[in-house]
Amino acid sequence: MNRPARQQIIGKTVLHVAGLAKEFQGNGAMITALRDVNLSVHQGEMVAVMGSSGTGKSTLLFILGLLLHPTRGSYHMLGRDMLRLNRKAQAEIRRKFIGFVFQSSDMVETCSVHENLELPLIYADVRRAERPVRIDEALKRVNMAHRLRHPTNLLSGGERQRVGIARALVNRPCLILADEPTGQVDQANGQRIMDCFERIAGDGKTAIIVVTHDPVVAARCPRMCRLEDGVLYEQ
Amino acid sequence: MFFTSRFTDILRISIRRVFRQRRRYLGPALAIVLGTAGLIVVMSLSDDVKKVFNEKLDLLGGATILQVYFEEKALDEQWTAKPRFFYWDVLKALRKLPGVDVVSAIALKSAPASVGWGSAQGHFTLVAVDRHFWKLHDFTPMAGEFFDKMAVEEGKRVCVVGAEVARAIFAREDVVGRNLFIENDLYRITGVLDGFRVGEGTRFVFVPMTTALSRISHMTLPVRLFLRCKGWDDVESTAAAIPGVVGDFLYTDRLRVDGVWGNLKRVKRVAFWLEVFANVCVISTLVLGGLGIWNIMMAAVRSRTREIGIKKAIGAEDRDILIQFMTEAMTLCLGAALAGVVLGWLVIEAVSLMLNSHPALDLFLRSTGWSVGLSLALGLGAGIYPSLRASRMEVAAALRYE
Repeated sequence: MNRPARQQIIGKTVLHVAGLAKEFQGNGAMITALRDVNLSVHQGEMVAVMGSSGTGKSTLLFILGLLLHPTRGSYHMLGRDMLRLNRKAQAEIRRKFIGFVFQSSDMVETCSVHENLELPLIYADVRRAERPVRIDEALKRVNMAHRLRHPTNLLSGGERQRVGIARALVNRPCLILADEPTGQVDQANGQRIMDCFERIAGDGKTAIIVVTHDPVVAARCPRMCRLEDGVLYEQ
Repeated sequence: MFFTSRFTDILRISIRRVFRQRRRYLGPALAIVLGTAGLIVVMSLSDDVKKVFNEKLDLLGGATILQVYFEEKALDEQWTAKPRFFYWDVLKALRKLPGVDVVSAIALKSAPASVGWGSAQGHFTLVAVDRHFWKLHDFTPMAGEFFDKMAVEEGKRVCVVGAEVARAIFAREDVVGRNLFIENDLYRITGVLDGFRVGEGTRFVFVPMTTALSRISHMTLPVRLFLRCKGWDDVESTAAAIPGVVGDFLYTDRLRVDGVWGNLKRVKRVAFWLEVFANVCVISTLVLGGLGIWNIMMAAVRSRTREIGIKKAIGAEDRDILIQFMTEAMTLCLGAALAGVVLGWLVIEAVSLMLNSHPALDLFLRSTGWSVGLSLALGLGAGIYPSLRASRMEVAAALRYE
């Protein structure tokens, strides 16, 4: 399968992990989800992390998104040690530097598209006057500006996912973590979502890590890694 | 400034959510509405209801009425010049006692009065009463009406006769409007008194105090006072205070203050348990509402686990989630409590019409403050645990929750 040529690294290192390991206690035995993972991602890079179910893809994504703490290893983002942060500081890093896109693109169902996109801006203390500009900008980047006031429960699966990407973008993060972003949409919508990611990465400011088990999706990323039994292999 | 904006935005979002999902919260909200309204009604109207019970319930047996009089001197005692009559200034002073509702004085003719019409003659007890007498005893005329304030003030020659008197003189009870000679003076009968509660009064003739004192010989000055207390809780304190008040005007040796103490005790016991029952009902309703809110908030935390995870993933701090869920619980309680205040006010208006008495505004405001405060405390109590649970939720676990 042809993959696009590796994009030129135009930015500084967004994240760097070394010797990362994660072990869980389960049913009396220790389960190793990740072992000795080393990874560096730079601004403008789009990295696919592939692997079959249960190989630790989501665990890696959660650690990179400061949702889980690793058992061992080091993790630096923009030069800062992420493993020394308390919960409050981690939340601050998440809202300022990280955007999440989930498989089912969970939205707050009782809210409209606008209200869903406003949430990260509220948590990030963005001024009220600036919020509409940011929301409009994010929706335009995923071609969803026309759905601004639409209730989220009336959106199609593909539209929801693109709104999810817009929500991840709205705080202008330097890292987007996408967990199976095309997992619940058809192929055409999957391609549209990947088009969005390519455009976002193309600006050279945002790094994107896409966790997927779909080779077609992974093929759209210039850089691909594979997780097998908790070990990350660069391909 | 930013924190303020963030805080108010979270409040706005949470309140909006409660209103959008109001049907889900209908049950517990209704319980709080009823509980709040009930508490306001019980607190505001309990004094008025007690007062009406005092006046209207025959079963109370005049438990809140006190009689004040001087004992007769013993035959072997020396005659004394000490005055034994209750002058108007004594009545005025007694009316100022905090627990006193109505004071009435009566005077008696020292010997039975000659009463008759035509050939029918008899001797009956003549009682001179003031205008408060009927209200104090809550008597209802069997026929006609009692003489009013004007009749007393103008000293009109009118009278109310007991049913036995009417039968003895006229051989019938329907004698309203008929004339009657009392001590050779002509009086018009305005009403007839009868009934179980009247007791010996069916053999009495009642005339206005002013008329009796000016026209009938051998009439004493007021020798006996009746006081109706505002409530049964005021009876003992009022009885204890009476000698002190009377003592400012008269010698109080031989002064007697009598009450129906046995009945009072029974009434107080029944009233206590009724009050406990009413309060338990109201508080139970409120607590049930609180439990409903606790339950619904717990269910909300469970069903919105992923939402909590997502909010934390996009940058919400623990306190943001805590504020959100607490605001939802408090909004629900406050909204329901305010609806309860409106309902309570409507009930009070309706009941006031029936009781013909309206609670004081400050009492209503105080009970409203208590009820709303209690509802908010319930919201706080019911919302704090689910909110803490939501705020402390691990993000990864929340995001994996199906």
